[in-house]
Amino acid sequence: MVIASQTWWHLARTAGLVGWALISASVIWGLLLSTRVLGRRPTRPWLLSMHRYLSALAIGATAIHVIALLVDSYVQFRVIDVIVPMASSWRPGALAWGIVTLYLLVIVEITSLVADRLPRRLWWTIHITSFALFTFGTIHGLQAGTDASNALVRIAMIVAIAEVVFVLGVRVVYRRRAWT
Amino acid sequence: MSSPARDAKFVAAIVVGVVGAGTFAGVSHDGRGGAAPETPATTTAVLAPSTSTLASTPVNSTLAAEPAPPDPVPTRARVRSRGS
Repeated sequence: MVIASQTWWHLARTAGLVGWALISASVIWGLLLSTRVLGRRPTRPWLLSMHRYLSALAIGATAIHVIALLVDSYVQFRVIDVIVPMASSWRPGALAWGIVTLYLLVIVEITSLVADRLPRRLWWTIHITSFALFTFGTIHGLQAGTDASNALVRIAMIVAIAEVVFVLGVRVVYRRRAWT
Repeated sequence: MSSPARDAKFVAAIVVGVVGAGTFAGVSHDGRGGAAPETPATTTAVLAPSTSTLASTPVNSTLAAEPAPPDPVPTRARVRSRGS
């Protein structure tokens, strides 16, 4: 049966899309946390807790995405294809964006878990690469994603990008006002 | 952990689960999974035989298999004979 034989392939695509959506949500949550544009409700600890929770879910979804691609026998990716950029013979550039996104996601998550032990400046410099992470993940989805041509996926991507840009703009304005 | 935070995480997990299930249902039934050019394994399998076939096919044998063009001299001769 065709559907049953491609279950891992479908799971990999699903996890990729959900993981990208969770990364988008986590970035937006982090920006809301740093701007404090929402005021006192919701509280800062609540926003921080949700930001961390969404990041953890994004890591989980990305792990499922990668594992499903390796387990799946329909597309037949090797381990080296999903950990070394440009190693794959299939759309190497598109996959490289995803691999770099994966590494950035892991680095940002690990440094956040040990943020108390790191210099604040170093943690912030690494954490700011989340914007690159979101951008690379979006490019990966558009170039390598089988569902990139799907209208719903495109609408979701446009909405997510617009939200990130909008909240980022709010943060920039908020920071300028805080400094002046 | 405060109760509102726990509730929000529970709701977030439900939303992610529902969105994930919906997405899985969507990608399972859109037919793209069977698209041969989208997968590296199938692409390799399709390209290899066709390339080898092209390389091993002699050009002359293909031309020889086609019907020979008509001889132009007899044609002109027929035209002259009709016109005269």
